[in-house]
Amino acid sequence: MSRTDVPKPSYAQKMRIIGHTDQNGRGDGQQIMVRNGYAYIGHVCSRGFSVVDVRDPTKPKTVNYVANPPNTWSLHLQVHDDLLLLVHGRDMFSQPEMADERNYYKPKAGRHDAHATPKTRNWSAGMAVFDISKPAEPRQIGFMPVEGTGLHRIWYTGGRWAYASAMIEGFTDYILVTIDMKDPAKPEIVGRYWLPGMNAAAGETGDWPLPQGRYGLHHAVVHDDIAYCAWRDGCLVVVDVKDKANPKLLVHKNWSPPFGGGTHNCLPLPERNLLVVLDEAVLDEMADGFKPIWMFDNQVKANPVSVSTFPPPSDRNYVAVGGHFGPHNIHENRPGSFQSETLIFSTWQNAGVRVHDISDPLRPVEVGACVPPAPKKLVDPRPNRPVVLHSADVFVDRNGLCYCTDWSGAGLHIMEYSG
Amino acid sequence: MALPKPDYATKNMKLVGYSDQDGRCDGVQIMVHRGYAYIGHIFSKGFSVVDVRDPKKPKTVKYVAAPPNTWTLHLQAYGDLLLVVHNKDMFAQPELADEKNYYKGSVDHHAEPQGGERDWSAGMAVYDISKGDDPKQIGYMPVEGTGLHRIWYVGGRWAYASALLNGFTDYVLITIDMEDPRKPVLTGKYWLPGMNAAAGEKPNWPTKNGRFGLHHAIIRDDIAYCSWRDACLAVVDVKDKANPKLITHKVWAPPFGGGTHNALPLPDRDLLVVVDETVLDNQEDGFKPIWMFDNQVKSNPISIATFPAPSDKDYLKVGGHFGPHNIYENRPDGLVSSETIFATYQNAGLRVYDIRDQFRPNEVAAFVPPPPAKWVDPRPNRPIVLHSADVFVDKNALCYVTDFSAGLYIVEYKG
Repeated sequence: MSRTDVPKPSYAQKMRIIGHTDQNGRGDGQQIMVRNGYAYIGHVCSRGFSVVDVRDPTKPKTVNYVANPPNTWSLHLQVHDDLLLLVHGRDMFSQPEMADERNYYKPKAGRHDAHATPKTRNWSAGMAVFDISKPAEPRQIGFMPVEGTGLHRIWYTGGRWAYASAMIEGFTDYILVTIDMKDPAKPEIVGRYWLPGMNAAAGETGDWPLPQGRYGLHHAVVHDDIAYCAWRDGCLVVVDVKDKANPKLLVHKNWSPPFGGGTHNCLPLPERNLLVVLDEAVLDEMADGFKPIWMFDNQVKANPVSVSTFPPPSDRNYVAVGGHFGPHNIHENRPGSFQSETLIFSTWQNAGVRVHDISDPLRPVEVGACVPPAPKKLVDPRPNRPVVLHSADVFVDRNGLCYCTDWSGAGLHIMEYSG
Repeated sequence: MALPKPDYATKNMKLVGYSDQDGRCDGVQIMVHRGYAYIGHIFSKGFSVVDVRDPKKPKTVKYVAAPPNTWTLHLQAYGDLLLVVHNKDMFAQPELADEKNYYKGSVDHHAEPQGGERDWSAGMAVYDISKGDDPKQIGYMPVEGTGLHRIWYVGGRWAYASALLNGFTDYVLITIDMEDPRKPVLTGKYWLPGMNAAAGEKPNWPTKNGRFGLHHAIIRDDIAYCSWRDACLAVVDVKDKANPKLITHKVWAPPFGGGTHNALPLPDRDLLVVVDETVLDNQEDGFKPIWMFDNQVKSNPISIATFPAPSDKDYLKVGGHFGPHNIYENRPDGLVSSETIFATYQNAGLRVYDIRDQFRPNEVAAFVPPPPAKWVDPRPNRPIVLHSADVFVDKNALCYVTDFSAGLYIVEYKG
């Protein structure tokens, strides 16, 4: 069956596009959560988040847009039951010096704290809580302010505790915070963990292996009271969060250098004692080096051991396509979504979505691919960005449908994997 | 005489020659040098010299007996010199009849002689092999202890070895000054913190039963890549021969089984191939991979892949040891390759790997000799199976494979 009303992928293997929306012209999307037939999408450039009715995934319909407070970024969000948790951070990509992405991802002296402490804060920093019991009409019911740049990504799968990366005044970059959600109207930061050297206000100085790098938490995935933290150029940090007020380091593994760092997701697969770790490609044409998706043996929580890497897309020369070629994100097996310890869905920016079979953890193989067409125009306001696909996040629902956002403005693609 | 028929061989592996080593068919380390193979025995108490100038007709020309109660299973040949380890004959010790006691127990009590007298030779013997078939001992370096295990010597002034010395819990790294080959001098030592029991150090090892001692080191650019058995990989700066210094120590046991046996740097590609040896029957000691490490940053080698294990049959069912033992170490007078790796897999014979994509090593050839016709292992209850031990590869890609009991196989890898 071939349809003419959906975009035609530039490459596909065992995957097809079944639905597409330009998100009412706000085609830039980052984190996406699908629940009860509605997709919630944080925008990178469009200053807010959108709600898309995907009850018929072949005809996704954008039904709402919730604008941010001024100068505020809300690109990441979490949905569980009737709650939607949204980051509020300073709109980094609107800062003039961030027009060159190298300044965001590879700051001089490995510090990123200049943004935390301006003379006057003209943005909202913290976490907004929405009630989504009426799925198309999120209603803000709570807020947790922080002093600083704000939050980056959150991990929340219900219950009392949320976890997030937060850039707080006095620290050199984002750190781990534990958040008490007992009263969703007033979430509270209870504990903090940072790598030694990050607490500049306390006089700590970092001794980082790269002169230019981001030594800050991207986000954590938490399982069995262990936070698997992707610490960007600091790579993997495993933190015991049993005591929410006093998180403790279990182990820190750093493979950058020799590799490029940019660690973005650490997904435990508890049944198989594996850990999938993704290094994000953050610069054009692999200027930041080869960024693999890694497989770790995770039998010993204090000693995860890298055993293999996922093969990168090889169906064409994606470096020549321009822009970012390399991993960005993986589907994180959220409760209520597709959960698998043998199939891993990842985004590869200009190389679209890839599915890997990890039945043999020592030798992951690509078993599916879908590369949507490049956007016609960019929503990204930064100058000189190449007009290419930039698949950002992927969420897989319990039926195996893949919802893929795009950073540059290609909108939401809904794909089916038939492997 | 007809050549033995392999149990399994890929088309690109051709059996060229075979020798039972005059009935002393047990061999471990082998060096092929100027047309002669020097083979250290594990049970036959000495070493043999095999004339392989015609590899189709290998001819055992000499057997050099070890001093009483002494093991000489490992040796190094370079130039006119042959260096042979002298160690207490461990596999002749009654309690080591069960290999678990050797590989998963403490060995330090072997260093001190029972009843006052040491009845074995401990140290390193040096032979002149300018006449290839007639090694003449010209020197000796004694040590106080159990003795030496493996040596690394590729000419020049310095040799390196693993030695179990009085006062240490297991084998440590030593540097050896070869300026006068008649009198090699032990110059420097490196041990992992905790091993120097005589100095009151207390070990804190991650596994309860294990061997935390150096198997041997390979040295490149003044860095010793040390295979520390169950303590895995220790990288040691040996620029200052008197004071070797630790660069980094990486441990992956647990979760893996340890038994690290070789760490081979491939300097032109900044890679490091690391072998974990299978030391117990039926993989009772866990899965032992051959690892590929990225070695761009000498203080931070990163494991990036493992070599696929033999899958042409269920070798676990064969019994005995199934898993890696040794790899060919790119010696300067043999084949030097950073794209092809030759490994022995004990009951699964010899395996050849293409590592051009270092993230995905592939098996490209295999040769599995038949089980041994004669059994020389005196230990009781050992399964009579193949046990490919060491492999040396010459410049013509002839592979010389020893076995705990099956003799010498000479196999051509045709690429």
